[in-house]
Amino acid sequence: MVNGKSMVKFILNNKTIESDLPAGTTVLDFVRYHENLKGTKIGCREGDCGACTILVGEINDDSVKYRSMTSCLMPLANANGKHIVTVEGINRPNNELTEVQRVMVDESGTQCGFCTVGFVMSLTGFFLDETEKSCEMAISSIDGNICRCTGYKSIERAAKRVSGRWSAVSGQKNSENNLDVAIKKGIVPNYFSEIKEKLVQLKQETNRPLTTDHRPLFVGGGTDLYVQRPEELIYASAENLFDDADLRFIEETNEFIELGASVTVTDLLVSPVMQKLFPNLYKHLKLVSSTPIRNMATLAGNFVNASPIGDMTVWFLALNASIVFNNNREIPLSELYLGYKTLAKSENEFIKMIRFRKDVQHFNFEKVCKRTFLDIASVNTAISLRVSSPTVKEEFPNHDKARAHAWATDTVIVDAHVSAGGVAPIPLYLKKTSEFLRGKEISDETIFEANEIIQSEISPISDVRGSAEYKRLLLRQLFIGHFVELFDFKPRN
Amino acid sequence: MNERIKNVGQAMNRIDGLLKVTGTATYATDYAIKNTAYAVIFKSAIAAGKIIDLDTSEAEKAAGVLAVITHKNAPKLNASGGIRGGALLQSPNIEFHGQHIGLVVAETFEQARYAARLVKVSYEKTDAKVDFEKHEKEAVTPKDKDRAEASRGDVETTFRNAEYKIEAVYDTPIEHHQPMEPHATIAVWEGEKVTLYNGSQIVNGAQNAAASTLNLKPENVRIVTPHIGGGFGSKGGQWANLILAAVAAKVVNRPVKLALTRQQMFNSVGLRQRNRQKIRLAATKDGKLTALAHETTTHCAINGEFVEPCGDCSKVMYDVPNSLISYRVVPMNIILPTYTRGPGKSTGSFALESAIDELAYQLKIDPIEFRLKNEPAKDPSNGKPWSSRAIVQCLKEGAKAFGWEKRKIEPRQNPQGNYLIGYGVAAGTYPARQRDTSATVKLTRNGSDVRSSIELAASDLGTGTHTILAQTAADALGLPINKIGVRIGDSALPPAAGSVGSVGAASFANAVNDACVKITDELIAKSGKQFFVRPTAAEMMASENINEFQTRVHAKPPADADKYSSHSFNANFAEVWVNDSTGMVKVQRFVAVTGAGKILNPKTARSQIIGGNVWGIGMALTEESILDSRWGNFVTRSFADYHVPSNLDIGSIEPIFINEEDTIPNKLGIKGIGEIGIVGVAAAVANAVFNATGKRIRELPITPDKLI
Ligand SMILES: Cc1cc2nc3c(=O)[nH]c(=O)nc-3n(C[C@H](O)[C@H](O)[C@H](O)COP(=O)(O)OP(=O)(O)OC[C@H]3O[C@@H](n4cnc5c(N)ncnc54)[C@H](O)[C@@H]3O)c2cc1C
Ligand code: FES
Ligand code: FES
Repeated sequence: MVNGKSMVKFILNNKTIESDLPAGTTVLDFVRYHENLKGTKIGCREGDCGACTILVGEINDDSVKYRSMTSCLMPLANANGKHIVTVEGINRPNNELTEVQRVMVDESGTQCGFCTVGFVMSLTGFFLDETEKSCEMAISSIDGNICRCTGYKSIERAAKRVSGRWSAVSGQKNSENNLDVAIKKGIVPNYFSEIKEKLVQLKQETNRPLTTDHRPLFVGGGTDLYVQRPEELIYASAENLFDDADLRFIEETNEFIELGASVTVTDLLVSPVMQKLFPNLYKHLKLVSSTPIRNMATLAGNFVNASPIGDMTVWFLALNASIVFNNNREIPLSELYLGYKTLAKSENEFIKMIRFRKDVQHFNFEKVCKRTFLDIASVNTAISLRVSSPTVKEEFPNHDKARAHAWATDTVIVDAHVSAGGVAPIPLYLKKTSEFLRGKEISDETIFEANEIIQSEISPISDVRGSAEYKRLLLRQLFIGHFVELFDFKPRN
Repeated sequence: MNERIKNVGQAMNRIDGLLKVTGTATYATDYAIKNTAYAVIFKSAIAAGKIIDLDTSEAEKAAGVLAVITHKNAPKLNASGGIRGGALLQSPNIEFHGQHIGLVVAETFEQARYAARLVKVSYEKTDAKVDFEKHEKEAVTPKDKDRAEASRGDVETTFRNAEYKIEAVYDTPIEHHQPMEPHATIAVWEGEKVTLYNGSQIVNGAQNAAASTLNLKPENVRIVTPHIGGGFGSKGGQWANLILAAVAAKVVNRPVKLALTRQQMFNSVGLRQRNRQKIRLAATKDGKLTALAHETTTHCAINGEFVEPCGDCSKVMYDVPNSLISYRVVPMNIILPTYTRGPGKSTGSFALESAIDELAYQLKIDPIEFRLKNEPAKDPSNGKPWSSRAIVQCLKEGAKAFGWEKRKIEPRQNPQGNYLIGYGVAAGTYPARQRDTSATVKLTRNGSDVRSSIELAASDLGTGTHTILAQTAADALGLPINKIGVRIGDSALPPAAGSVGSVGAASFANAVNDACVKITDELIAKSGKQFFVRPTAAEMMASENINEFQTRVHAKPPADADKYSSHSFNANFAEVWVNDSTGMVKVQRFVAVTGAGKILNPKTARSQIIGGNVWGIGMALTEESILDSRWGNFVTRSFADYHVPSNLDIGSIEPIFINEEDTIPNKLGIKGIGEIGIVGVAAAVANAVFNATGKRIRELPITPDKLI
């Protein structure tokens, strides 16, 4: 859809509305100023605090799935044809509270209250999304919400209590009828049961026309664009790729895994195909931004943003992935980056698809930031290795370091791809290091020599996230960390 | 009194909880006021010098723009009226980077924001003082008498001759309050009167400062602030944005809403200053302190002085015959610093309690034992007796709850896989006071239904004021808590102290209690009857068939309060896990034991303490604002770069309260708990990091680069 003048139509809480406001207007401003729904708060307008969290529902596999998103970074265009839920849309009449709200009060999860609605929405969203209904995931669902007062531990207790009650009756497994259960448990009001039908109808009316403008500005989830140039985006003519169904798939072919460009980080997280291939998927992806941002952030957006520390970029570089543009031109992802934020891509090209070989054997991702969670990395790195005897570390019970060591030195690296972020003006595919590793045994010498090569390939600079020297040291440690993590192999100094 | 269930002391849910979880609590910008225009501030891009030219023509022509206000056309204001930090558009002079230099008022927020970018400014730059390292030596003794040098005995000689001693410098960075609600105001004029919807920790203080600055009588300014989205000191004193909202509304003759952006918050509403604290400690071989010097150097603004009292803890914590507390300050081109949660005590205790740990280690004495050996019988700073002092209990009960006996004195003795585990302890203190506060209590009766309304210009910034006042009034009047209405946060109500410096609860609750006692007395007197058992006000309303009755008090602290030294105390225990390869630290477990007088509501009190603890952990591990010394701007100006702790960064926290009855500071025995929770936390973490790694980090925050 072209921003500027065009109608967006969606369900806001329990009513269907249409708006001819510029489609680049943020959903936050729309609900607060134009709809006078003041429960949604403005904490930062940069996606960092979660005070503006709303739920976004759409039909997926014949049922309505909700995800939490930060309304401050969400263009109205991306609401088209969906169900947008603010706190007013879950509130009950006569001073009754929803289950989540009640437990938040009981557990003393609110102090000044300015963050509270955001937490309530994130937690409510958890019960309507596709993640496992475990206590850990409930706590994870509030990872994008900041409480400065700071009631984290009380809010965490609330999260545990509601999710505990849910799983005691309905189990932890995510199920197709989450929504029905949530309605029954008083987590969301009854009218949610009618939303599906309305969305089906709406879908026919809002079938998105993909028109291109003279100077297209491609908008994915908007999580980079709306932080960087919010004023401009409201009125810009933009092509919103987020809802293009042709860009939202994850498929397995004989050789490859193919992903649509608008696949979000959360899409990866809940994908059975990806889960099978990457046993530590959750552990790794939980280090990337926060739940609402992961719900919005697309892979192509991360690649094209070209941040030197883009997590998904570094991840896919180590998978030796390639990207396919709308004109079917295909290049390795590593060749997209020419220099700091300069790309081998013409103005009219947008990424359509990403693919990588599916014979992934040993993959690991490491990230260090100043704050453990919800932070941009100081340094990140990923590695993908294929080895001659594909043992896994579980075969050495009790962390038997000696046996692990003996096994590793007997094992030859058949193929290797290593990447690193935060150590150069662009996200780096460590070409020489990768080449060096191929055909080598896993040994102290290999790792130390590889590290020498790494150090020659990188050129970190000193900035807020650390000094150049520190980043060099960090990458060294993280590189060693890959082998500890994958093979329980710690080189002897 | 009759036998009733007492509300005070019960762990009750907060009465404003419902409003907050449903998003119906109204904060400053949530008022739906018709015909509101929007103002957006624009700021200086240099740190020192002056504006030569300011071209607003394009901005004025932009769609929807109603006015552009700069120093050229701003009305004359009283710049010394009590607004902090200057930036009132009264001159072309620039004193810090990000000083407000104008504002655009437009029909919509988007239009104002867009037009603000069209203003062209040219400056004449002068050398800006923004690098503390460079200007530290220019620091002088502060003008503030409370920061005058305090010395007793002879520190110099004692220190020189001591066999066991520590001399170390502790650095803490600039930190920002960053409450979740950015500062915001809606200004509405009616003739000569202005109503300001504006988060204000000190309601009457905001009223007076606004009135004086706008050259109005205080009764012509009304502050409305029933709910405040956090403040932590930044909404104590008021800043230029409040006044500029009023000015804009006057100029365009319409209500105006002015909200600071998160980025603007970094240089608009004060900050916690960078402190360089030198500590010298000396002790005898068996661990008796002989000298303590705590010398702080810091910066303040060009246009005002503020020095946080880093030496306060050092005045009262330990029995030491020779002591020196001093301050030096250098004015710099940085916004005026101000009170920030646990002002002085949080940062000061980091230095003092780290040094105590260092000296204990040098003496090979357990740090708890070392502290116990130096317990003062009375306040060493003024010789007054303690009204109560729970520090020994805090340390002992905390040690038990935490499992302190498992700690090894030598560092690096507790590795677990890739992690080094360490334990640390630190103690802290915060003064307890009651301040003058008035309150009105109203009773109404409808048949057997008696209700009360409690009214005073108190504030609730998340601290639970609404709830504790309802509890206090319910008990004092003999009514169930749901029959009590609490009206606060409005300067039209009886004047009250502020929610600052942990005086709020004591001042407000005592005033409310006094008012309830008084209304009961008056009702009894009015009846002309005598009672064996004193009836409650509620009973009197019913038995005397009174439908409406009210009274008002002006409550003051007890006359004798000043003869004693009254403080809260705490002991903090931290268990940290340090990743041996990356240097990342996690506080896995934290126990905070607090002796803070009467705990009115354990639920809200726990939240206050845990909140303070998390702040302290942030101070220890992540919070740091970085100034670009070339320009004087903050490089860290969003939540993405300025790292307040997130939930997953925080391990388990267990607050424990010591049962303490102390009615010397005030009748209800309340000491206040808003600040004590952060005191001594960073030191406990730093001490635990030393115990884990053997590395003594004297410069906060303890980021991974300092450990690998
Ligand atoms: C609070 C917060 C935390 C964050 N944390 C992290 C983090 O931990 N790690 C991390 O890596 N990133 C992080 N980010 C950055 C951001 O979320 C990611 O870069 C995200 O993947 C961007 O995707 P998007 O769809 O939102 O991009 P958008 O903002 O929509 O677009 C970004 C760029 O990509 C272009 N673009 C989008 N889609 C296409 C396409 N199909 N073809 C060509 N160009 C396209 C746009 O034109 C734009 O230039 C964070 C952001 C926020 C706000
Ligand atoms: S307002 Fe902070 S995340 Fe949207
Ligand atoms: S309750 Fe105040 S920020 Fe969370």
